[in-house]
Amino acid sequence: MIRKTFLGLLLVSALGAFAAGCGDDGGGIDRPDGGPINRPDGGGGGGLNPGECFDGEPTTELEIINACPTTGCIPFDNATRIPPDKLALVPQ
Amino acid sequence: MGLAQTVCQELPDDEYPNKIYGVGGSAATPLISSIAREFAKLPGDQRVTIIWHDPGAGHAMHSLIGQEVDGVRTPAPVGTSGAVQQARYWDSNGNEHRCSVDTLSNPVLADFGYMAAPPQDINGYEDLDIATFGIGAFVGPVSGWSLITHIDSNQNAISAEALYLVYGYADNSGVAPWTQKRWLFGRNYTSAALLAWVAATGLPAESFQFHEDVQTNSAMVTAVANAEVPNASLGFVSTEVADRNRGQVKTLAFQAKGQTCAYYPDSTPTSFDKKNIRDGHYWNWAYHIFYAPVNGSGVPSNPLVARFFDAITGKTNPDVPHNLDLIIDEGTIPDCAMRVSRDPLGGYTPLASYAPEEPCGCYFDFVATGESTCDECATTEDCSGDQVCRRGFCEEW
Repeated sequence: MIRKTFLGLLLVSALGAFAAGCGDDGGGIDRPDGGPINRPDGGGGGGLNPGECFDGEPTTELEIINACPTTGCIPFDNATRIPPDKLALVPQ
Repeated sequence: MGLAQTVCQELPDDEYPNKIYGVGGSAATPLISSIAREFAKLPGDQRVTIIWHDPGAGHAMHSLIGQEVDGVRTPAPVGTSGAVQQARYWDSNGNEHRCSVDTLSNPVLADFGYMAAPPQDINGYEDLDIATFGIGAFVGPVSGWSLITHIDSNQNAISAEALYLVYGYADNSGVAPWTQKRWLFGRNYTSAALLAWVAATGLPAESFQFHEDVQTNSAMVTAVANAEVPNASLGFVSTEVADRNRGQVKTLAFQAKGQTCAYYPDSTPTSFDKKNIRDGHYWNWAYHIFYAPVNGSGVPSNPLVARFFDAITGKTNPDVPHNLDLIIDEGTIPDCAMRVSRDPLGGYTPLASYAPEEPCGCYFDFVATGESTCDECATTEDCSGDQVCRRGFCEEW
């Protein structure tokens, strides 16, 4: 449980830095440890948050496109770059 | 080139023997040029003169099968389909020239076609089985599709969702800085490049809005490079064309649907390793597919076409023994360097992990970037474990 809390704080911290860094589209996720945020179980690749990657043997397309490592990736945060009313127009 | 137009059919046979005509998209024009140049330099009767007309992917089908009119399909002669009039050919020194196809007094039919798309993706061919028309498909190397912006743009990435809005709503996209239709460039429904972004965004081809249909990959580079509002400019080309024009335009990293980060086709904007295409991080890629009339064994009926296809699809062949190098040099990826796959004739089917029969990833890195992290070898005994020595490097198996 403690570990989960720590990971959660780490994630929130990292995502905050990520969101702040997205406005200028300058490239690179500003993570506390400088590396990708891995999620060992991956949640099937579909439950990842911005900047997270799937740390395992990828089998599905979502796992493949989100596989770790994410060297050189540049986040594009739809939530901060696209107005909500416009984002709602995009079919899921 | 002078004002007088050379007529393709009038190229003298002694200087330009064994002519074959090809029609299709401009995405692979760099690769086709590279292989055609080698065939033009072969000695004597071995020479093959490839005359290449690249008005757009869909025109490959128009030229080999034909659009349906009153229930009948008739192949369109070369040069009658599409807005691009001139064809390319190469002399015995490998120099490229242009000629005009005589469509009136001496019409010729295409010997082969090329598209980075399956036939069913082309408007008017959705339910058509090309085999019933005696046409076979031959899968070549992989090509990426790149989004490009002005070299001075301050943007580095875009998502599938943003792209949907930018091309779907143009002036009203709401996605800064891509909010001016004037600086959005596109292609029509015959373009494999457009179809690629249709697949990536879910935006129907007919819903794409842009200032101008620029007709070809090279014209797209020119249009984007000359945009007067750099940040607002956007267009799309094959990755090999983008690679050739890095001094003029800038490639954007792309974040596919469901992806948590955007990636370049290569590991960095300045490298040529195609790492992210090869391992699946860059979603938007397709196989170059070549089409031609085939015999009962599924082999191209025209033996000259068969030779050309062997070389350009990466098979070991006597005409262009260094074809793998050329394929890599032109920014395309041979199957042996891929670690993901999709159904070549199924369109943009989901990516799957892939293990090529004889991997060449180490050699690919060496040719594409000038270096490889793999051990060099003379024989497999120089390698460890399951590694196999191939083309001078210890490949994974």
